[in-house]
Amino acid sequence: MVFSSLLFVLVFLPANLFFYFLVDSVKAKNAVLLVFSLVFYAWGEPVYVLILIGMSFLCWLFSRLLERAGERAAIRKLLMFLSAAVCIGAIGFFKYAGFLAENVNRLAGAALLPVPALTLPIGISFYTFQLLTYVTDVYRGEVPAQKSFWRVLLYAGLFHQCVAGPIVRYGDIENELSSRRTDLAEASRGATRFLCGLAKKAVLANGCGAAVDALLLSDAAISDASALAGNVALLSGRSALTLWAGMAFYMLQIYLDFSAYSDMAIGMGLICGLHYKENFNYPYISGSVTEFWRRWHISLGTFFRDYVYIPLGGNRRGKARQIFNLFVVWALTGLWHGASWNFVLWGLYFFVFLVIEKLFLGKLLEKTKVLGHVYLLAVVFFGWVLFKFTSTAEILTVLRGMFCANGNPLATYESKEFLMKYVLFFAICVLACTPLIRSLSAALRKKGEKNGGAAAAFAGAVNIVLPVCLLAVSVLFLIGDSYNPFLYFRF
Amino acid sequence: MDDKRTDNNTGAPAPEKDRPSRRYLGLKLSVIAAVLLCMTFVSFILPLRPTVSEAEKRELAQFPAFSFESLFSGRYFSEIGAWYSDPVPFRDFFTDLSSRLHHWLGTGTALSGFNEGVQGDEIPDIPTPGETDTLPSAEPVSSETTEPVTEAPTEEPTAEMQRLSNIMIYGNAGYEYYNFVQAASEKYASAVNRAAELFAGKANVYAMIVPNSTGVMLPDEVQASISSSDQAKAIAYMEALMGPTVRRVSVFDTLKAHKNEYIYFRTDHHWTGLGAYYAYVKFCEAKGVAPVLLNDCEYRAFDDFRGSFYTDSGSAPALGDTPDVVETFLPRVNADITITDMSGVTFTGPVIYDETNNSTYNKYGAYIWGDNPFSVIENHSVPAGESCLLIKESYGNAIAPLLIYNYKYVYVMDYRYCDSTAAQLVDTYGITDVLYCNNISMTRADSQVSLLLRKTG
Repeated sequence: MVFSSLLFVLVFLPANLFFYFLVDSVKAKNAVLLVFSLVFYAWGEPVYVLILIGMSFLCWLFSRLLERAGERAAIRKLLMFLSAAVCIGAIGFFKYAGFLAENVNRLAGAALLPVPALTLPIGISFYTFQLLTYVTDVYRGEVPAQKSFWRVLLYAGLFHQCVAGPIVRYGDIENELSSRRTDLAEASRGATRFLCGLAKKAVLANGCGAAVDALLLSDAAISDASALAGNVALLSGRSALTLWAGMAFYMLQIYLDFSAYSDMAIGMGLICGLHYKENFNYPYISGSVTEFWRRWHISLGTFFRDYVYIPLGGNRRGKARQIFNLFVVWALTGLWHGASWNFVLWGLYFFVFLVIEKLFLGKLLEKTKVLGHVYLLAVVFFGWVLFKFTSTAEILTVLRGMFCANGNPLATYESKEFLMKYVLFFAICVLACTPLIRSLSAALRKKGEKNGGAAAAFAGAVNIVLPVCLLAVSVLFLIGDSYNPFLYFRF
Repeated sequence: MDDKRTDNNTGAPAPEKDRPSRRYLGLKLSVIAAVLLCMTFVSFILPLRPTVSEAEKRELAQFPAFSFESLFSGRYFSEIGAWYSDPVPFRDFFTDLSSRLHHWLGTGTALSGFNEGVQGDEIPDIPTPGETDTLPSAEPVSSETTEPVTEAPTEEPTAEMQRLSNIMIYGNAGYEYYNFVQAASEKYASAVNRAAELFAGKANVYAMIVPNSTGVMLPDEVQASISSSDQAKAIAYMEALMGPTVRRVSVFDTLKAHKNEYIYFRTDHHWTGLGAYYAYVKFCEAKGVAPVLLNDCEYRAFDDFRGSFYTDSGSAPALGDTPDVVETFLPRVNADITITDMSGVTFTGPVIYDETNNSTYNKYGAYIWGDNPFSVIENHSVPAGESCLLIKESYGNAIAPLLIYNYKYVYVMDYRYCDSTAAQLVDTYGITDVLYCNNISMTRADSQVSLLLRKTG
C-alpha cells in the first residue's frame, strides 16, 4: 500500500488512528501500530513480510546477546559481524545479486552465473538500515538492547517510515517506544503536516511526473531493456526545450515526491507522539553541494556519515585518506539508490564536486552567494540526468539533445504549446521547493498572536480550512488517479 | 560532513504560553476528522458505487474473487485496493471535477500525449505503373520500420474502445496524430488486394481510406510544424500498391474541398455524417450510380456530444465547453437494420439509433447503433437489388445509412469483432460490391491491419 492512495487515506489511516486512540496504554497502542504495520506491509508483499519479521528477530536476538556478552570483545565482534552479515546479506541478495551476476557475466563474456529475477522487497533498503543502526548502536554501547522483540519489530516495520523513509535511528525513538503521550498541539501540527505531504504528492509531484513521462520517458519505459533503441530514437527527436523542461520537471518531481513521503511519515509520527527527525530541509536553496547533502535525504547522509565515513577514519587520517573515505561513501550512496551503474556514477559525480569544494571551491562559493546557488542548481540538475536514465546511450542522447547536438530543434510548436499551459503549475512547484509558504504561514500566525482579534481569528480559520482543502483536493486528484507512481521501487 | 541542522520543527513542544488553546486544537482536529470520516462513509455506501464509467467506456474494477494463489502473490490485496479506488460513488462527477482542476493548473495537458519528434516512416514515392508486378500480396511484409513508441504492441483489439494515439488540441478541437508506418500500410494494401483476388468474378472491391481531421481540417502551417505524416501522400502510396481491379475511392481531396463545413467532430476522432456523405458521393461516382441528395434525406441531430478526444484528453475544458452535434442523414426509403451484437443477440430496429437521452460520450452510436460485429440493413422500398458488404471499423458507421439508397441489402461487417470472414459473407449472401471503408489511423497499426487481412478470408 502507498500513502497516496484512497485506500490508505480513507480507510487504513482512519482505522489505525481510531484503534490507536481507542486503547489507553502505550503497550496496547504499540500493538495496534504493529498489527497495522504488518497488514500495511503484507498488503503489497504477503510473503516478503516474513523477511522483515525474520531480520528483526535476528537483530533483536543478536543485540540481546551482545548485551549479555559484556566485555568479551571477541564474542561481541562476532555478534556484530553476524548482524551486519544478516542485514547486508539480505539487502545484497535481494537488491544486488542480479546486478552482480550480470556484471560478472559481462566481464567473463559468458553466462557464468545465473541472473536471479527477484522482485525487490519494498522498503528493504530502509528497514535493513534501521536495523543495522540499531545493532551497531547497541554494540557501541550508545543504546541499551531492547528487551521486547515486538518493539524491535515495530521500530523496523512501523508503516510510517518502513517503505520510503526517513531512516529513523533507534536512539531517537527509544524512549517513545515505551512511554509517550499524544500532545494535542503536536497532533494538530502532525495532521497539517501529513495533509501538506499528501497534497504535495498527489497534486504537485504526480503533476510533475505526468509532465516528465510525456516530455521524456516513463520509468517503465526506461526499465525495459528491450525498449532501449526506441527510447533513444524518441529522445533524440525531442527538442532542446523539451529536454530541459522535462529534466526540470523531474528535478521538481523527485524532491516533491520524496520529501512528501517524509512529511507524511513525520506527520503521522507526531499524531502518535513519535518524533522523527527532519529528512529534507529545502535542499534546492543550498549554495553548495556540501550544503545540499546536508539538506537532502538527511537520514541517509547521516547514516553513511556515522556508520561508514567516521568508522573509516573520517577526516582524522589525513587528506588522502579522507578523500578515499568520501569516495567509498559516495559510491555506496549511489549504489543504495539502485542496483545499476548509473546510480554509482551519480554518487561519484557528487563525490567529485564535494572534493573540489573541500579543496578550494567551498571558500570561493561563500563569498559569491548568487553564484553558489546557480552552481548548485546546475550540478544537481545534470546529476538528475544520470539518476533518471539507466543507460549511457539515453544519458548521452539527453545531454546532447539539450544543446541541439542530435540535430534536434531548439523548440517546436508542440513543446511551446505544452509548456505554455504548464507555466502556472511549474511556478507553484518551484515555490513549494522553497521555505516561502512556511514563512508566510509563520508570519500569519505571528500577526494573529500579536494583534489578536480579527487577525487571530483569520489565522485560526486558515489553519483549519487549509488542511481540509488540501485533503479534499488530494482525494479528488486520487480519484481521477491517472498517474500515481511509486518511485522508490529500486531503493 | 557534519550534523548542522538549520531547522528542526519536530523538537520539543513550544512553551505553554504560545500554544493555541485546547479548545481550538480540538476543533481543528475534529473538523479534519469529520471531513475525512464523511468521505470514508460515503465511499462505503455500496449502492452508490458505479459499475461502469460512461466517460471512459469501461467497466470499473470489481471486488476480487479469493484464491490462495492471488493471496500469496499479493494480487488479491492490490485488487481490493483497485476495487476500492476505482468505482467510487459519483465517480464521473469527481473525475470531471478533478480534470477541470488539472486543466486549470495545466497538468491535464500531459494526458493528451506528446508527439514531438515521433517520426513516422518516410513515405516512399509512388511506384510507376510499370512496377505493378511488385504489388504487395498477402504474404507477410518484412520491412524495417520504427513503430511509434506511443503505440501499444500488437495485441488483439477488444470490445473496449481502443485508446487513440497522441492527440493535440488546437483551438477548441482535438486532432489525432498520424505517423505513417510502411509495413502496416503495405499490409493494408495487401488485404485489399487479397479481396480483389478472392472476389474476382464475384464482386467488385472498392477501397476508401478516410483521412482524419488532422490531415483535412488542421491548418497547413500547423500541420507543417508538428510531427505528423502527410496523409494525402500516405493514402496515395497505399492506393498505388493496390491492384488494377481494385476501385479506389479517393476521398482526401473531396473532404479537403469541404473543409469549411462541419465534416469532422471537434471532440471526437470520427468524421460527421456530412463528411461521410461527401465520401459517399465519391463512392457513387466510382460505382457509376446517382447518389441520394442531401435534401432527400431525413435529417436528425443529437446535440451535447463529447467524444473520444474529450475523454482521452482527460476532459479538456477547451473541448468539453463546446460539445459537438451528431447530425444524421438517412435516405427516405423504408429501411431497417438487423443487428447481431457482441453478445450474439440479434434484433431489428431503425437504422438511426435515437441518442437523445443517451450519455454525452456515446452519441456517435446514432449511426447504425455503434460498433456491432455484423448487421444487415434492408431496403424494403425495392423488391430486389444489389447488395453490398461494408468492411469497417467505427468510421464506416457514418457512411452505412447512406449506402442503403443504392442497394437492397447493405451488410455491415466490423472486422474487429465479426466471426465470419468477408469471403464467407460474399458467398453466403451473393454480395456483388465490397467496400473497404477504413480510417487512416488503422493503417498504421499492425494489429488492426493483420486482423483485417485475416478477416478478409
